[in-house]
Amino acid sequence: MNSSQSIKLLQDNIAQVIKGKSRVIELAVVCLLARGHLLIEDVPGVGKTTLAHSLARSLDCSFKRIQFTSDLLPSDIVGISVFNRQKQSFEFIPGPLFAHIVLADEINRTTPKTQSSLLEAMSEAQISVDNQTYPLHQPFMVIATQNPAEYHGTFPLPESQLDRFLMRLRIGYPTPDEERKVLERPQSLHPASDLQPVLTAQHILDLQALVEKVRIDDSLMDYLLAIVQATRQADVLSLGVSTRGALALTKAAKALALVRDRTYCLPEDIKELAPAVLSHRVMPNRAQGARARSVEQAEGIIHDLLESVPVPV
Amino acid sequence: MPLDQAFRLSSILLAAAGFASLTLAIALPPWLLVVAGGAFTMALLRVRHPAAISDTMHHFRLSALTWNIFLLLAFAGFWIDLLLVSQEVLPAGIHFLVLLLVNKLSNLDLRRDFLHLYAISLIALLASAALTTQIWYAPFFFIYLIIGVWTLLLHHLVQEQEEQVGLSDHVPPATTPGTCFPRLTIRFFWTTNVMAAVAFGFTLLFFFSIPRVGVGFFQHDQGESLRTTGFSEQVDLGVIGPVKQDPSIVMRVELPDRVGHELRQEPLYLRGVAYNRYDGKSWSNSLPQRRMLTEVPEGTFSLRTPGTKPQATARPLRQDILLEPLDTAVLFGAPLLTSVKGNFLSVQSDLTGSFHLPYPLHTRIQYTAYSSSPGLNTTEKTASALLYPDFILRHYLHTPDVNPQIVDLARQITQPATSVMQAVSLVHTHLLTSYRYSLDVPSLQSSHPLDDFLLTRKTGYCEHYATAMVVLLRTVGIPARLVTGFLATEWNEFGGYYTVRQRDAHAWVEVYFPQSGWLTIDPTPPAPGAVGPTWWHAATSAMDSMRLKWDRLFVHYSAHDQFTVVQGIREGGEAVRAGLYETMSALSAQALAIIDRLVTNLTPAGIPHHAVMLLLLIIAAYAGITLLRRHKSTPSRQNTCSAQQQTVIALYTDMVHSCARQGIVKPASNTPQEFLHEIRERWSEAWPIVESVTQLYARVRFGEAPLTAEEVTTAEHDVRRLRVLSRSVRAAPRSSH
Repeated sequence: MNSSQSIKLLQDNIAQVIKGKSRVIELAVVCLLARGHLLIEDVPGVGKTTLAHSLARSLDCSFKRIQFTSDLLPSDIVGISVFNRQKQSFEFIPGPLFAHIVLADEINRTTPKTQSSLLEAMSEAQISVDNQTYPLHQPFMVIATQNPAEYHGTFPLPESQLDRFLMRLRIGYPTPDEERKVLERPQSLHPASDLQPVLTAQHILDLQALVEKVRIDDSLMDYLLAIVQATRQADVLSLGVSTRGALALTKAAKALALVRDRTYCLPEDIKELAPAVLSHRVMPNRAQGARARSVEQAEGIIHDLLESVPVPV
Repeated sequence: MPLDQAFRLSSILLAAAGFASLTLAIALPPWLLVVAGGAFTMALLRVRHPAAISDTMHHFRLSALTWNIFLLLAFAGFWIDLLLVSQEVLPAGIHFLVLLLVNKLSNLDLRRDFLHLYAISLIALLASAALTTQIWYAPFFFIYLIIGVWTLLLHHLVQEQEEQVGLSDHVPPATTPGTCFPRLTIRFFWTTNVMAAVAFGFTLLFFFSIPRVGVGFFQHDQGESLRTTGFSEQVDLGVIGPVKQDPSIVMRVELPDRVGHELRQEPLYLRGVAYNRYDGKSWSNSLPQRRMLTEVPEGTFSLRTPGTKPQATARPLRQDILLEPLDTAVLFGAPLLTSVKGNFLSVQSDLTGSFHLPYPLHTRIQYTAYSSSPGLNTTEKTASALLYPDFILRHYLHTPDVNPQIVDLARQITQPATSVMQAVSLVHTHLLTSYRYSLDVPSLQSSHPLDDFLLTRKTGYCEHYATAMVVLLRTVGIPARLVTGFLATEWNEFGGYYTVRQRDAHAWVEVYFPQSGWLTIDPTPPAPGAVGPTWWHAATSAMDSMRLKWDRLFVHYSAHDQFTVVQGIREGGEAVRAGLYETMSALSAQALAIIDRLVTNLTPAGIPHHAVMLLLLIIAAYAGITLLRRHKSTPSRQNTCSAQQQTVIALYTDMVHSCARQGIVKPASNTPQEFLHEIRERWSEAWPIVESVTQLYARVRFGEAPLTAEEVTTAEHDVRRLRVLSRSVRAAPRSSH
């Protein structure tokens, strides 16, 4: 089974559950292949958790789900050292982070303290407890869902935390036809529960290695840097894209090229991914209005910036 | 044609062009020709069928050591050649050069070998340029230039390609040079030929503008002089006859002061030498004393011919003469020469009015002669008797022991004459009417050739006629002399000059009149059976005219000509500059007036005009600097693209332009796919074409996929179709979104 076939299989598998959202599924897969973490932000009830579930179920690897609440503590996530009476020593009991796919459900419902405990895990794929460092499983992917910031009982994610997500997705409401299909499905079971895994962890690692080999032309690098530069110089943004953001866009573009069965990037890859990869890393000016951090607005700004950057010929 | 093959072929052709010019410039020994020809054939065969030849020739290929020994032998041969055989540097060097060429042709493997081959062919071309001044050199030079431009371009392309292949080792083997992009279209040849023509234009420009030292530096093969007859100290009667069939060209004469058709009407007499003493068999000059002519400025040697009065008549006749190398030192000119102008050290004249150089020159010479032909004084036209000076009587009345019958004949002819002039014309008429022109005369056999002509055979040619007339006139006491020279009748209508050949050699008579001087009279009837102008004649005269132009413009192009050209250019330039200056000053005056009015109108009261003007200047300067800086800061990364990428970029841009003509403009920030989408919505007929080109473009431009020749052809074809489509179909109206 070659790379394009396996990716197709994965996408089709998820699409059995998430109806009419092929683009979102594609981006989720891109995120997985780019070794990135995914933040799904939308109003409650449009399938955020189901998407994460379906992706995890389609892979033959370990899956943990953490429901973030306001009283959740860091040790509830990473694990805790417990005194073992027989051995007369402390023993580390791994938390739910020790899994291939971790679903951080409603991540903005917990306190910044707990949110920050994810930082090391997400960027270095390891955690440190009591001066001990424990590597996490590979592949490792955090899929976080959150409600928009202005909803009640939320703690907005800090910028450093946001920057560690490769992309932020919106799912959006399905079209009436798609919605009808969802409603007509038997409601007895969770929709994702009868999904069969189609790929193993090793498959994913191989695909991730392939992404590294995708060619990106010098002119496209220039294009990408020009976009990043534009976010830093834009008047409407008070915070531009970081270097990590530029790196994320490169990785994502390569992964998208692989998903679309190419061995080289095209300008389309970068332009298409830029809103999803960059919008949560920039901070619109206060002057832009009360809904300063709304997803739509940030994505709109990125769209506008893209129209000002010439595509290399 | 594949690039590599074309490159090899063109290199060999370049060497062949150099070699061919060499073989025409110098006579190479036959064995060398055979060896070189064999080497060329082998090299060409290797180009056309590389595999077959290298297989069959594998056993025959000589090792590097053998070739080294061959070269050492050739070098030794060069010294032997130089010291013993030809004993001259140039031929020996050229033989060695040809051997080097053979060596290189047989060992064309490395890039270095090709460069050596070019150097050798260039040396060959230069050597032949030093050896010859013939016109055939021009076409060879031009061919060499064209092939040279091909070769250098191809060399560059091949090198670039090899560098590319060498750098990108990871490229899959599908992109080997044979299958990959390089191929030559006919457009390549057009472009290079145009480039060669431009280079040739520049060459001409430099040729005419850069000073030179001399001409025909090594030219010694050309020094073979034509053997002439009739201009030596003593001329036997009947020597001109044998040369009357010889078509070799002696000189070419232009009459720059005369224009148009009046030229062709009359034949031109070109006087060489005059003889005053006839001993019954041969003519000689009893007045051989010569004097040096004084040089008036600018190389003009002037003379007042002894025995003639200074002419107060009209302008002298000017003739520009290009004289081939002759074995005589005589300078020819229309009767009678008054001065010559040329690049001579000294010019002498004798008492018969002939001009001589101190010694015969063995090169082609060019000079300008001025002559004034005396007309007969009106009083002398009717005078019945004339009083001759002693000098004339002493030297121009002597006759040998003449047959009494001839004396009787002379008296009989001049019987009815009432004046001297009439006697002369009676003799003239008698000779013209009573004798038959024929070249079929046994020469130098008769002991009394004049008696034979006048009394028995009554046939002969110019010398007989002229001698007869002189003798007849002298018998009745009229001083006369025989003149030899050429009678130019062949007018070259292409170049506008007379071509004078050996067969135009002629003899005629000069009769003395005390006041008018020597009068030219030709008693010979025109030669019968003149050949009418045929196509052959036209072709040869066109060819000859071209040869003359070549000689005039290139071989004998002198510093003076250069000066004239430069002066002409400078005068032209002055005129243009003056015109420009006038226009510009008028324009600037108008512009100043407009600005002044503008400033006056704009300035509020109380502020001086100068301040506003200064402000405007500052703004303009600022705008200029800003523009300049923006222009500079635009990064240019085009040069990082490979040739294949450039190709698809060009194709894609072409396609985008075609779409723009249709009204569908691609914004700079649109990606190819977005543009393709736009095309699908607004110009669906073109969509398949645009799609296939976009696919190819994306694959090669960003994927660095190898580009095959067929793909390029297909894409080019597609773009062309799109262009046609864009002309024929109107764009669909712009969709609302």
